[in-house]
Amino acid sequence: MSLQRPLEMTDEQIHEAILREDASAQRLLYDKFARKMFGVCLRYIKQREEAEDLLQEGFIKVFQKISSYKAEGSLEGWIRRVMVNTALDHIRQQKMLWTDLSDIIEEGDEPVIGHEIGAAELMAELQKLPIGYKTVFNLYAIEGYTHKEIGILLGISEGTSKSQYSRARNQLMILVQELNKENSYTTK
Amino acid sequence: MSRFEDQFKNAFDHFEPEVDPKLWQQISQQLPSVPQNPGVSGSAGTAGKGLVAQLGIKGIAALLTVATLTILGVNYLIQKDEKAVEKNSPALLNESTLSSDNSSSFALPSEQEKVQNEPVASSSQEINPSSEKTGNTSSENKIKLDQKITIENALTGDFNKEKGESTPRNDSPAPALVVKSNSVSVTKPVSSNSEGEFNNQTQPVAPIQKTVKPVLILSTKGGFAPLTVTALTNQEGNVNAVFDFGDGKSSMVGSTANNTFEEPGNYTVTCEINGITIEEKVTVFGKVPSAFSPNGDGINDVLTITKDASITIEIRIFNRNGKLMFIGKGNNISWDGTFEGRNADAGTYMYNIFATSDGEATFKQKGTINLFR
Repeated sequence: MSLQRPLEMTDEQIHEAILREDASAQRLLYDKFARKMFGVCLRYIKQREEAEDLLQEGFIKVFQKISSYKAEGSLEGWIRRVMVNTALDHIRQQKMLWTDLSDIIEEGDEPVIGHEIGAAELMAELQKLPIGYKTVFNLYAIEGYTHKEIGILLGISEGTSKSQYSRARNQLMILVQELNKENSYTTK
Repeated sequence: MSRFEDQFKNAFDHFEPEVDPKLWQQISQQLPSVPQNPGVSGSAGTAGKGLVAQLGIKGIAALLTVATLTILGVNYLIQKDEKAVEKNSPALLNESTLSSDNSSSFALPSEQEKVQNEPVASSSQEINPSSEKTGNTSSENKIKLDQKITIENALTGDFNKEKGESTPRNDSPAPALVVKSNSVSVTKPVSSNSEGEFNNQTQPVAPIQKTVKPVLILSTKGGFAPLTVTALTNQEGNVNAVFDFGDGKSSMVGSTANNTFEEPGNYTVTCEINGITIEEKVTVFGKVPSAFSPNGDGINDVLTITKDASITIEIRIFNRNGKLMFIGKGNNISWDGTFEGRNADAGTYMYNIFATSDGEATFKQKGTINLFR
């Protein structure tokens, strides 16, 4: 179990090495991004085994399509998009329930997430959301897609994406407030 | 105050859970392109197909001609200086065996198995009984064309003669020829024409390794000690480079080498390939201690980061759950091992360093620190 990753080749060097068909470069690329991308997969897919399948499928696509990467954006960003698209392919097979915009959400105060709350805990909270909410929240808040793009990706309207997002956000805020409360009890 | 979303985004930016090691094996088994393997790289790999389409048969024939001419030219030179080459060639071969062994251990055992199962690989084993020892690359007629042109063991038949082995080439299938150019590789049976040319060589020809424009690639050129740097060259396969990291440790031979710089300073990394020496600089701007013990005994109670004034850094220290414990900026960075007034637990902490110089991001680095109590 090593936390340290000694191989910090630049993305450019790894990309070039892969184009040269240097087998070890594929490994370098994988070692550099596997954990981060596994984190991405786990945000979309709750089950660890399914997320592993997703990671595997995503990386195979990455290696197959790396010649189409144009070194315009960051390599990490490109790999992440491949992963997210692969995740969405998985999710599309499941049935997402979309609610309409008629539900009006009251905006509460934005809770500040306590310093003691780590990514693993936030992940657990995120996973409590229904899959539609969770997916839209991931795409909009974490990955930075626009509602228009999300609409196209998920085959829903822009308005549905917005409404799903604000519901997801609201529910997450409630969950985080509860988490903050729990933590303040346990630390006292 | 950051937006609610940003808090999530920041937390997940550092979320890098462990991945089951078996996953890479599963992935690598499904990858189309594996170098040092003519069967796989030629049959799959969209890039390879692209080259075939682009060059067509004429192009490949032209490449072959160029390669043949090059070989003939080199051969002529070798004849002139035959003895020296003959002395060198067995050593070259042995060392290249070593380096290909190294690279295969770095790649995967499963890839090796695949190689063994490939029809091309097995047929070349029939041709050359010694291929088991020398690895697949030695028995291929493998020509790589790049900015660097590497020609290795191009004349298998003659090479075998030199080793005193019979070469029943006419009965066995023609070995594959791999032409490599930048990102592509093509497998094509050697045409009878060029093969005839090869066999017409009357003089024994040693395996040739000609290298043009070697480049030294470092995994990183700057950072904080302990800084692990991997050096590799742009050459593939049977490379015998001598790496010296310039920090007083003994040099290393192989196709790649790793070194951890323990102290700040400016280092010159050199790499010698076939008599050509190339170098790159590595700057270690400072040092992050690998451990500290904030227990009040007066020894290593504080984690102090030393750094060069020329560089500006921000260091973030996280616990194992990804919780941010400490942010350090400025010229004097030290952490006393407390978090919100309480002692942080003993254990391993992860850090990220974001370094800027003249306002521009220069590097990011990760590492671990052990906290003892």
